[in-house]
Amino acid sequence: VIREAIRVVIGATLYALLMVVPACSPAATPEARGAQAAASARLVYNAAAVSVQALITVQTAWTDAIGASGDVELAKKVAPISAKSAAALDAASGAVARARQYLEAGEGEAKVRQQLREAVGFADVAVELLASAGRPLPDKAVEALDFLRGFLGETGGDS
Amino acid sequence: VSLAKALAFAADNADEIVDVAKLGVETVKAIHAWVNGDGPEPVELAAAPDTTRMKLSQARLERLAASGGTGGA
Repeated sequence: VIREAIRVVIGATLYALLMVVPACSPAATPEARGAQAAASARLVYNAAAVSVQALITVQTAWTDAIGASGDVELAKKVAPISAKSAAALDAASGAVARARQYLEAGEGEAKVRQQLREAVGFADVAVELLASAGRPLPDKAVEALDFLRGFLGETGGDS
Repeated sequence: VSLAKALAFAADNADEIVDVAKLGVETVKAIHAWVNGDGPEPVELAAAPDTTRMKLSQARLERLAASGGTGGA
């Protein structure tokens, strides 16, 4: 169930980003480009928010399952790793939340993108940790996060 | 934890997992409609990720690790 849900989310994310690229075409008028840039920032934010939430859901399902098992030895083994991935996802969530605040405040797109880049970086750390713990989803998640990072880097506007 | 237990948990929480997937699908639908001129420009922002349950679950796991064997469900 988790793998299928993640597959849907990742697919939706990639598709959303692919749809954003033509919307930012340089053929548009300056006014249209401005409106599209603002829209694309919102769309990339939404894609990042969905991806991070999906990872949080998987992380929670993982720790819930071990917590419910009552297996102390496994809990001792996993807790240090899951604590790190939870911290990374918490940081990613914080960066996404700041991006949302910037969007709502009408701040510059560069500030929004910088926060989203940070979110992707933290999420990538969580994926690495989840992969080291043998979670089944990281390959697909890494692909999506790589794509997000590349998109955010290429479309630029470092603050 | 056994794979069976993990899968059982996933099944028990399928609604929440599917909700996340639905959000992604709805986002794509809105974008697609906008790009094709069939819908308004997407202006709704998705909610920022919620880490509350994740933190509670991690805390429970750490209590189990420190418990000596009594931290089960």
